[in-house]
Amino acid sequence: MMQMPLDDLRKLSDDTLLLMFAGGDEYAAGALNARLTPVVLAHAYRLLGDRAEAEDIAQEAMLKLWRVAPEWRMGEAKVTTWLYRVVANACTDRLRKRRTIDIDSVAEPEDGAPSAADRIQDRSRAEALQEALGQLPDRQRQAVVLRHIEGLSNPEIAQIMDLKVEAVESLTARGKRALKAVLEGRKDELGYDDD
Amino acid sequence: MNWGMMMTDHKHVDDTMLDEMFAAARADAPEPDAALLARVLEDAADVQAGFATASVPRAPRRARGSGFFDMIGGWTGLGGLVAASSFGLWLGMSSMPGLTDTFGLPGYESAAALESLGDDYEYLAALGEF
Repeated sequence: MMQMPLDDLRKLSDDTLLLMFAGGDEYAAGALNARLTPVVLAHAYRLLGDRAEAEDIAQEAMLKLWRVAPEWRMGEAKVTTWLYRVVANACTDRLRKRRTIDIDSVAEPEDGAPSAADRIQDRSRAEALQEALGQLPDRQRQAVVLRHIEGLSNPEIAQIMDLKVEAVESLTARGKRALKAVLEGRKDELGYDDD
Repeated sequence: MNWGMMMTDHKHVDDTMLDEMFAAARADAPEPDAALLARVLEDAADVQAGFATASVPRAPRRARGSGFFDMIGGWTGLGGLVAASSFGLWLGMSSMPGLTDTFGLPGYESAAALESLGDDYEYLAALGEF
């Protein structure tokens, strides 16, 4: 099979590259890896708050992508939409197991005053937000991350989360309110003073 | 001046602050290290190798003795060979003395018996027995 130069591969869509991968192109996987592994890693990290676990999920999600390649139907769904969904499902499983293990050892955070926040000093705003995201219910966290950090549209989030657009809007609104409440106690620490 | 509004703006986390934090989180996205990228690529190569194995048509296995079968011209050739062999066998068997009845043809013993009938032969032949 004739191979394309790497620069040309970078211009191709995700699903075109995936079909090329399925057809045996040896460079398509490299292009998809460089493009999509950062996306799935970042999303998994934002949902889990743990780098090592996020790496496992990212590898697992990409492996599923490689395996699904021969059955992929061009134009039916965005590859990233499918991947966000795979990552979210895998993270939900991890979080469920984590809760089962830690349920007796970790105290529930009090409203508006997360215990974790009190223990951590001089964290960046991004890290503080990550901490705060960890306090949200899974679905709220997923919706907020997809909308406000990944920058996806509500219809796309609705597709990923298998919800109606109105339900997504409601989840993100409640998620933002909850984040504000959680971050309230860390305003000074994050450089937002009262003056 | 609306002091109440100012107090609200300063005392609570608002949308602007939250948007700044979202932007900070976007900028702070974890980057995959070389080891993770290598693992993902290794998985891809393994999976892709599986596609190649599945799509390459395997040469059909040849049954034992199929070379001889082909050499004689397949089923048609085999039919001809059987017919020719049967005819040869029939010729061979039918010319052997003493085995005449096997194939319904008169042999040496039958001829000798007929000769011993003498005149009776003419009689029996006239009755249609032979």
